[in-house]
This record gives sequence, structure tokens and C-alpha cells, in this order.
Amino acid sequence: MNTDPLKAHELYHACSPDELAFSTTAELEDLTETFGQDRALEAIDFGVGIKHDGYNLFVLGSTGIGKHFIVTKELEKRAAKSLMPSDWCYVNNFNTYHKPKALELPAGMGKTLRDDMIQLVDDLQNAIPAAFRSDEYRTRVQEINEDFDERQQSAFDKLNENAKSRGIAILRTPTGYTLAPMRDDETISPEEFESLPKADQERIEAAIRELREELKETIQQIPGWQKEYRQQVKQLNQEVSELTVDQLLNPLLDKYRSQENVENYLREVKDDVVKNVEEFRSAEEEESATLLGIKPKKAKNPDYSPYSVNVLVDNSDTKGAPVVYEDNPTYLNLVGHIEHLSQYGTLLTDFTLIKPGALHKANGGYLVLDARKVLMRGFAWEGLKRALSSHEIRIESLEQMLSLVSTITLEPEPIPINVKLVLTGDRLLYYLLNEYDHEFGRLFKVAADFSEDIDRSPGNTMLYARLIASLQRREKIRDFDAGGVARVIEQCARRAEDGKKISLHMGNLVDLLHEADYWAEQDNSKAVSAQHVQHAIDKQIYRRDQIRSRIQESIQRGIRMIDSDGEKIAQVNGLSVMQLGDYSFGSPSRITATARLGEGEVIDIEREVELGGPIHSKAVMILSAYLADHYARNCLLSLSATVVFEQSYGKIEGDSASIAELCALLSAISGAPVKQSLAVTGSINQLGQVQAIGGVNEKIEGFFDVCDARGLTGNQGVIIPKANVNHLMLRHDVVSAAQNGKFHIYPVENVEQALELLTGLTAGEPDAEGNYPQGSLNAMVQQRLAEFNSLRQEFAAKTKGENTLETP
Amino acid sequence: MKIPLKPPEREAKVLQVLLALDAACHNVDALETAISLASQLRAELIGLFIEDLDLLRSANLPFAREINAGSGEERSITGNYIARALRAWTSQIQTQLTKQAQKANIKCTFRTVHSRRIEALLSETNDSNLLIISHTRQQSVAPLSKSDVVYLLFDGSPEAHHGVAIVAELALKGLKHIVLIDACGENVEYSAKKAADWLSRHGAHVLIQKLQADPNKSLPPLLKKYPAALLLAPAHFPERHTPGTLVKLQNKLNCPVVIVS
Repeated sequence: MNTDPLKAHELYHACSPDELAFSTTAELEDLTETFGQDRALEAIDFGVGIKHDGYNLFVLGSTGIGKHFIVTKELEKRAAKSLMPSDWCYVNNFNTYHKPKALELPAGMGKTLRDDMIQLVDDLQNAIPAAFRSDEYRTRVQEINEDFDERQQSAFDKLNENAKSRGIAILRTPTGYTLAPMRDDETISPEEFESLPKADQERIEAAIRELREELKETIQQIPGWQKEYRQQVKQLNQEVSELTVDQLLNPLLDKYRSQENVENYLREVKDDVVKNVEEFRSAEEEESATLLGIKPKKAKNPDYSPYSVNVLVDNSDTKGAPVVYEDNPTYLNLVGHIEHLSQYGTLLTDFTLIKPGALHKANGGYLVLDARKVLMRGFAWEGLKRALSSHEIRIESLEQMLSLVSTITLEPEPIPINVKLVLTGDRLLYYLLNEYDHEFGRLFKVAADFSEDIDRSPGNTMLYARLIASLQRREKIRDFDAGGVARVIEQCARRAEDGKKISLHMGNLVDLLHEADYWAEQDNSKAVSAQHVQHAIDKQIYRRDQIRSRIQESIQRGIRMIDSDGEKIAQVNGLSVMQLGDYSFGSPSRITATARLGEGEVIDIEREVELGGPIHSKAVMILSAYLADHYARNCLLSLSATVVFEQSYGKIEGDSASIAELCALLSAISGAPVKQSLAVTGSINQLGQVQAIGGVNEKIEGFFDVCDARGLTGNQGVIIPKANVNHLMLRHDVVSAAQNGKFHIYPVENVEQALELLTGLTAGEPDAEGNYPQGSLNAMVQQRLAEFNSLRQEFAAKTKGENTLETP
Repeated sequence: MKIPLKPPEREAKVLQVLLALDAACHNVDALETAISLASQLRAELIGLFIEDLDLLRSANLPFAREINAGSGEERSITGNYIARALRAWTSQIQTQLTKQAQKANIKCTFRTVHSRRIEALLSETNDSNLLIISHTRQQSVAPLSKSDVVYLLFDGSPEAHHGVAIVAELALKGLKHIVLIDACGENVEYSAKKAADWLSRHGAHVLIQKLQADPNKSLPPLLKKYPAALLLAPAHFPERHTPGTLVKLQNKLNCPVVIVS
């Protein structure tokens, strides 16, 4: 079973500048349409188009793939063709002050109404005092006053005359009146009265009694007259106010005739102004300066804020439907909030301090939010769901919602919403929400799943080149020549971990373009070429690979024991990948195994000490099953084996070392030595087939770096799953070494191929009875296991005999 | 009192402003007008409280009763009770008067006069003071403001000339709306027209209104034409016509009356 190493061209799926029909990106048109995300775009189109409840979108894909940019662009395209949504205003509720009313108005009318109301109040401040200053009003007040005065005066005059005619005077006391008999225009003293004849005294007293009753009647009538007087003044004031307000308000009523809600509001304004006309009249008093320079007692500042209009949502400058992105989706920023003013240590608020949230601003359009941010902000997710479920925005403070305070606050009328919510987030978040939040599925029925990569066909390569050109122009960086573009495409393929694909991760792409542009600038180059891109990649790696260097160094110094030459029994060079943030690198690990007589168990030491992850444990179990199936189908597997990653002090996860572990184990059983010049990676199934693994490029490069540092012998190389061949996008130095026969990459499909490469022995095919040819590796394994089995039987017989003797 | 006939040749000489207060006009709103005038004319303010002898005497009658002005309720009174009530009220007025005068930075004193009639106060007046009388019904007399209308009764007498000089002084301070009531006879050297011209030269807008024969009847309607803030009348003018005119006028007008000597 010969396994040939891969040819150099199979190790790197190059993009030739010759394939690209341009010399620089300046020749390319912008890519206006979204590229490579057909599935997601169709989902967005569907989600945005469907009007039924719950068809909000969750746009899923990895961070930096361009979800936000693409979804916003698509929404804006559709929004531009949509109708402009309404303006929303909060106005005073003149009946229940703490429950401001919401007014829906055609786009742009909110601001107009606000300005009209400001003007109205301004006009009222002038017109009302003027009306009450007018000669007409003063004359009418005068008439009422005179009427009242005359009524009162005439009653008293009549009383006075009557009293006078009977010789009685009506005198004022500090608090009322008293009656006294008169003589010669003077009151009679008590002595004089006593000297009068009895009859005169009685006559005077009787007259005084009568007059007193009349006086009482007259006085008792006064409150009634006063009430009537006040009523007349009030009625006059109302008439004057109504007339004045009508003159100013009627044009507004005509203007807003088509808006029933505004018309009703204006009527309420009128009633309130008339009711509180004194607020406007007080301005008149302040205007007049006193002659003395002493100002009259200052009335409290009139408060005209009840007639303000709080334009919560102003769409006067909006084109089409709004597309709103809230970067900080806190509960308050989403549903709005009510601000307070501190006055003399007290917090005051009114409807003018109601502030809109993102839901208000996006009403009638689209709201884009980052799902992770929403979930991380307290109560934001619940608030959002409540708004979507109830189809209205209810502004409620958190204190109120959590019953932390019991003070009276505003309860603004809820505003109905019609918003298409678009959440962006990664896949894990989407599936977690789907799993654990029962409302999520009902509210977010459309998933727009962004693809991470695209096929690297010639057509797509050209489109990708146009994408690079568009980004380059958008980012205002210099043009790329064809070589530069080709190198970017190759790097994107490497990022996709597939030579036949290109990564659609826009974040990384833009970063690479920026950095390549920087190095081109350093090089005083007009265009970015392949060498600038390569330099950018190298520098990116250099900046991040300190830990990799340390690991390599420790291998070279013999601290981490890795052999790259010679042969060893039960010792195989496995390969692992370490992920540090967005940087990953590979390095070899020594995998060793032991085998002895036992009861058929393969012990994964990593699992025993709880350093092995479940996938790794599963892989070890699979290799146990493989052993039993291949070598002990008709007998007991009398083996006790251990497998371990040497010098590993952290968690180990994944199954990509399972082939290496199996090879080490078979070497331990058979005693066949393993070439240390080779490293191996791949996962196996129970049938011994080798399956693809991730990070193949990094793993190969990790072992190459060790060998290269020690000097390439020409025997060194890496065994990889054949299924990974298409994923190869190796570094140029690796490809170059392979091309020169200094380093080899062997693709294998099954364990036997790997074993043959590692041991130099033939694996051997079983005959009809399941026996392997003499001298083959499998025969050696089979033979050794048979020996273990015999020994086990001997032990069993011996143990049984001992037990029998002991039994009475 | 000799005042040159040509107003430009003389000054408004007012050393005191007397504010008449009695039990019948115990609202203190006229206070504001009095303080305004005193301050404007740099005069001393004197509160004159009239203790009515008739009232004190009648309160001692065996059947003396007081009918409360607000409720119409009746109760027995005595001379002592009335004296106490008047003292209490005097004290209250004095406090207010002093407080307001301090604010306006004017000198203020207070005096009690035992008299039978408000007309008796005329004897208190002289060419260096003004007497302000007002009535209970004048409910909301405010400090004089620039937009107020001041009425001046001009009959050609020396007191009337003094009034013209005072109004001219007020006009210079800002009071611009003057209604000059022409009560002159035919053969006066210095007519109401001349007085009006002179006031105009002091920046006032003057309107002349002719007074008919009986001021008691013709004056109130004249004062209603433009809401009056103040009426300046020469001393003895009302009494010259009909005894008791001043009291009657006071009852009918809605503004304080300033008697000029």
C-alpha cells in the first residue's frame, strides 16, 4: 500500500494574478450587490416583506462577517421605497396631568404643531392682557362695578335717609355698624337719652330696632350681590378670554381640520386657557412699572409649559422609513424614559421631559440591534419583547417597574408600534435563545443565516476582486494590483481553512487591506502589491505569535520533548492546534502508549484526571472499539492499555489525535518502532477510516517549524487525512521545502496507510479466517494480543483452581 | 397761601402727605397711593386716624348694638369695647404704615385726631401738605403706575395752581396721563388751557374736560370715563359748592381723593 506525498501544487491553492483580468483595482467597478450571501439576503427580503406578527429577523453569523453592514444596506434600500412614518408627540392631558396624551401626526407635522403652539402662547401672552386692558373691557367691568356699587349704595342711602328722617344716625365701627339717635346733627349721649321722656326713649328704641332689622337685611343681601357681582365679572372675563383665544385659535383649528386628534387637543387647550386666563393676565401686571420704582408684589412666574408640544419623533427630515441602529440598547434607550429636574431638592417632571427610545425612533421602520448587547443590558431584552408582544411602547421607569418607588410619576399614553426588529448575533446565541426562551421563536420567526465562505470559482474570484476594489475605495486606501488582490484572495482562502473556498469575513478582510495599504505607504508604493499583503500577514503573525515562539523554543531546547528523527516504540508525534483569540497555531505533542495483560480496557489518562474533553474521550473509546473489532473479534481482548499526551498540563479536547493515539497503541502492542521524523493528525472511526480535522495548515506548519529549526533531513513530514487535502493553504516556506523534497505531506484514508508510513512495515490484509500475513504489523499485533489472551486464560485457570481448593 | 399765578415760576412745595383713616375707611389700600406720592414728592407721610366722637358716645347708650358688616350678626357694644377695637385697629394700621414707609425709605409718623367729621380734617391742611382720603369701597388701590390716569380739578384758585405744580412734578417722574377738569369761571387770568399747556411742557398728555355746575352730580361720571387712579382737588372746592360734598364725592368715587391746599 504505497502512499505518495502530495505534490507542491496540492499544498497551496494559489490564485494566479493572470486569472484576474485587470492590472489594478482602479479598473474594477464597485460591487453594489451583496456578495455570497444569497440565502441570508432571501431571508432578509422575506422577513422584511412579510407583514404578519412575529416575523422579526435574527441575523446570525460570526462576528465581523459584515452582518450589520449588509443588513443595514438591505434595509435602507427597502426603507427608501417605504412610506414615511408618522410623527409622534406628547401633549398635556388637561384632565389627568400625570397621563400625557400621545398625538400621531403626518410626518413633519409634529414640529409644525410645536412651533404653532409656541407662537400661540406667545400671541396669547400679548393678546389676553391687551384684551383685558382694552377700553371696552374696562368699561364693562366699570359697569358691573357701578351696578354693584349703586345697588349697595342705594340700599344704604335709602337706609340712611330713612334713619335720618327718624332722627337716627348710622355710624361705622371698626367691624360693622351701629345706630345712634341724633339731635342737632350730633349723637345723643347716654345722659341726654336718660333725661328724655320715657315715651321718647321708647320711640327712639323702637325706631332703632326697626332700622337695625332693616340694616341686617341689607347687610345679609350683600354676599348675594357680591356673588352675583363675581359671577358677572367671571362671565365677562370668560367672554373676553374666549373671544381672544378664538381669534388666535381658529386659524389653527382650520389648519389642523384634517387631524381630528389635534383638533380635539386644540379645543382642550382653549378650555384650559380660558379657565386659567389669570396666568396670561399676570404678564400684564409685570409689564407696568410703578411710579415709585417699587414693583408690585411679583406674581409667581406664569407656567405655559402645559401648552407645549413634546415632539418625540420628528420625521420631517426622514426619507422613507427609518432604519435605526441603537449601539447601546439599554432598557431606557430602547423604550424611552422620563427625565427629572431637580428643584429645591425635589425631583420634578412633566410631559416635556419624556424622551424617546430607539423603538419610538424606528416606529414605522426598522430597528437593528446587537442581540448580545441587548441581552447584556439589564431588562432590555424583557422590555423589547414586551413591546413587540403588546405592539405598543409603554414608557415605564425601572424603579416603577420593579416597584422600588411609590411616588407619583408620569404614565404617558402608550404609543402603538409597527416596527420590524432585526437582531444580529452569532449562531450560538441564536440557538441558545431558541432553546431557552420560549417567546423567542414566536417573536423572531425569520433567521437570516450568513455564510462564512463562498466557493472559489473563477466567477466568484472576480466578484471578490470587485469586492476588494469597493472596500478599498470605501476605506479610502490605495489601489491593489492584481498580485496584491490574488494574495488577499489566497489569504482569505487560508482563513476559510479551505483552498477551494474564500472567507466572507469582512472584518478580517478590511483589516488586511488597511495593513497592506500601510506597508505599501511605508514602501512609497502607489499600489498595494502581493509583497505588501504578504508583509502585512507576516507582521500580523509576528505581533501575535510570541507564545508559539516560546513553545518552539522550548522544543528546540529539549524542554518539551519532541523527536524529529529516529524510531521509538509506542511514541508518536501528534499535532494539536492552540487557539489564542483570533490567532491559532499548531505544535507537535508527544503521544505515548503502554500495553499489558488486562481485561480489555484502554485507559485515557487525560480523561482519568479530568483533563480530557468529551470528544477526546469519545475518540479513545472509538479506538478501543477498533482494536477489539480488528484483532479480537473471536476472542477476548486481554489487554490493558494507557494512552497519554506527554507534557500536557491543560485541557485536551477534540478527536484529531485519535489516529496518532491508535498508532502509538499498536506500536506498544506490537513492539514495532515508529518513525519520529513523521507527525500524524486525523481522527478515526471504528472502521479505521481517517476523517478530516480542523487546523490542518497550522498543524503541518507547527511540525515543519520544529524540523526546520533542527535542519530538514528530507525524511520528515506529516501524515494528514486525505479529506483535508483541499484545505491545504500552507506557508510558502513549507511548500518550497516540499517542492525540494525536504518535507513531505502524506494524505491517508485509513489507519493502515498511516501505520505503514510510520513503521515502514506492511500493515497486512486478513485472510478468510481473519489471520494476517506473517511479518506484517497487524500480524504482530494479533500475535501479541493472542499471547495476552493465553496468559489471561492461564491466570484464569490458576485462579479458578485456587478458588476450588479453598471451597469446602 | 400765596402761589404765583404762573405755574412755571413756582415749585410743588409739599412737606407732608396726610393720609386720613377712620373706622369707615379701614381698608389700607390707599396707603400705597399715599406712599407713592410721599416718595415722589419727597414728603413726610403722616397717618391721621380719626376717632369719631359720635361713635364713642353712642356706644355707651344702653341699647347700643353693633351689626357686623360681613355677617349681619348683632351684638351688644360699649364705649370701652369700641375704644379697644379702635386702638387695636390703630396699632395694626400703624405697623403696616411704618413697614411700607421703611420700604419706600420715607419718614412716617402717626397721629390720632378726635373729630366728628372727615371734613374737620381740612383744618389740618395747609399749603405745605396734601390730604388723602379714600373710601372703603376702593378695593384695590395699587401703587401709582405710569399708565395710570390722574384727574386734576382746576378751578383757578391758588390751591388749584398748587395742584398743577404737583401734577407737573409727577409728570416729570413718569405719570403721563392727566385729565384736567376745568371748573374755572369765565374771568380767570390763568385758564385751564394754560395749565394744560404747562403740564404738556412737562411731558404729560393732558385732556381737558369741562365740569358742569353741580360737581356732586357731574364729577363722578367724568371720573368714570377713564379709570381714575387719583383725583387732586383744591381744598374747600367741594365745600364751596355744597356742604357735605366731599363726603358724598368720597362715597361715589373709586379712587382716593387728594386735597391740595
